[in-house]
Amino acid sequence: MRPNGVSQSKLFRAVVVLALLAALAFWNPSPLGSLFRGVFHTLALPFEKVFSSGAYAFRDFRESVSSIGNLKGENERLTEENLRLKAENASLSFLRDENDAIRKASGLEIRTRFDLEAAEVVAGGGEGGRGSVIIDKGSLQGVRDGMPAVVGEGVLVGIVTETYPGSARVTLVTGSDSALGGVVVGNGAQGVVRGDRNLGIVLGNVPQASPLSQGDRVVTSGVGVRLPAGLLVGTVDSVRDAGDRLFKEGTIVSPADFSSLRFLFLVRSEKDS
Amino acid sequence: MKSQTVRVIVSILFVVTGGSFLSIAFRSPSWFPFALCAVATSLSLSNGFAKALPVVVALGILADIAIAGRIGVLAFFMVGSAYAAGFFSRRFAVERGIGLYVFAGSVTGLTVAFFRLFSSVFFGMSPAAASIPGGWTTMIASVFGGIVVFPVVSVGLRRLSEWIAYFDPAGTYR
Repeated sequence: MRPNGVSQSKLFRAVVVLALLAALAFWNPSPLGSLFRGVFHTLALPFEKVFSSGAYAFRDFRESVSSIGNLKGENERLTEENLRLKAENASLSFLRDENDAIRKASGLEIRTRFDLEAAEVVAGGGEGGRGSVIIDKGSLQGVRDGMPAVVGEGVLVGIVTETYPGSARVTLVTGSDSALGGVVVGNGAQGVVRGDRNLGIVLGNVPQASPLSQGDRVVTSGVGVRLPAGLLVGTVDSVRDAGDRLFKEGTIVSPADFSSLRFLFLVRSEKDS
Repeated sequence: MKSQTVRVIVSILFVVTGGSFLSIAFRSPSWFPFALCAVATSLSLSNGFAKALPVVVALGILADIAIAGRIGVLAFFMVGSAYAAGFFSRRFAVERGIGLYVFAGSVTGLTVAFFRLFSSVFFGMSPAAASIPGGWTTMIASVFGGIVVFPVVSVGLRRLSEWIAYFDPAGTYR
């Protein structure tokens, strides 16, 4: 039987330590955190590259193994889909010109429009494992805070928020700390694109009078942070009232798969047209 | 002294491996928080909460630095896991066998569930705290995850202790 004082002492110690850690987390001292992370990731970068390469190889192998059982069904599904797409292709060909015009208007010609720097994710991270990632390019390679990170044809996935000599932290658009200006393509409705608990993306602060509906495409507005306009954020999936009767908000589905990010492109600067 | 150095190096390697391997290979859901909370629970059960506390705090802060989260968040939940393990093990008198693994795994899993569900709400000041999607599913899946991960981590820590005892027969560090 333990004396009661021992338990109380443990409880007191636990409460004090928890309170100190909570205060530290709330305070979130960016310069201090940045300094420690800079030292850590500079020293650990070679190991991170080795481990992340192994992780990608392992992930590919795991996905290959898990897909073997589905091959027959997948083959049948693809055959049917191929036939359906052939028919659809014929009916959609006349929309090609219009689509090209929209892509140019939306600024989605990413490689011709921007000077890009390729980078590889070497560590996952953030609260819940989804808020941010560490990439293998840093200030020595010309990476600066505020640079947008994109994948594919200009799909915004995050913004560089901390730079270290050989690596950098990219806060994903799904991250709780992420907030940037967004605009709906076509009708010009503006709002704030913010991360939703590291799980999804929301276009908030859209005035009730502005049109916003399912299927609308949202791109960056270029307002606020140093972010070029026209980077695709995603498509509006559902619209709801924000609860204050002034604004409404839409859930955005990004075409990027945040759970399997590997290569990103950092937008260094906009090319002269 | 040598054994302390070994422990520090192993801790750093563990955190780097977790951030770069576990977080990428098993990104959704991430297994790294499971491994960290399992270490906290295991240390608390084997060494006692008071002795485990400094190691847990140091490891948690190191992990927060490695995964680029807010410094203190993971450490907060790890300390919670360590205290809960010590507290409830006395109440339930679970000391060995499969029961211990299930108990400790459940504590680990519940802590990770709280971490996944509430860390961004509490520390990120995220709005709509009450409407967390898939809360119960996350809770149940995390408990199962904890029960799977805890034995692996526990055995790993035991092997490390045996190795350090071999490396440091004089028992400078216990």
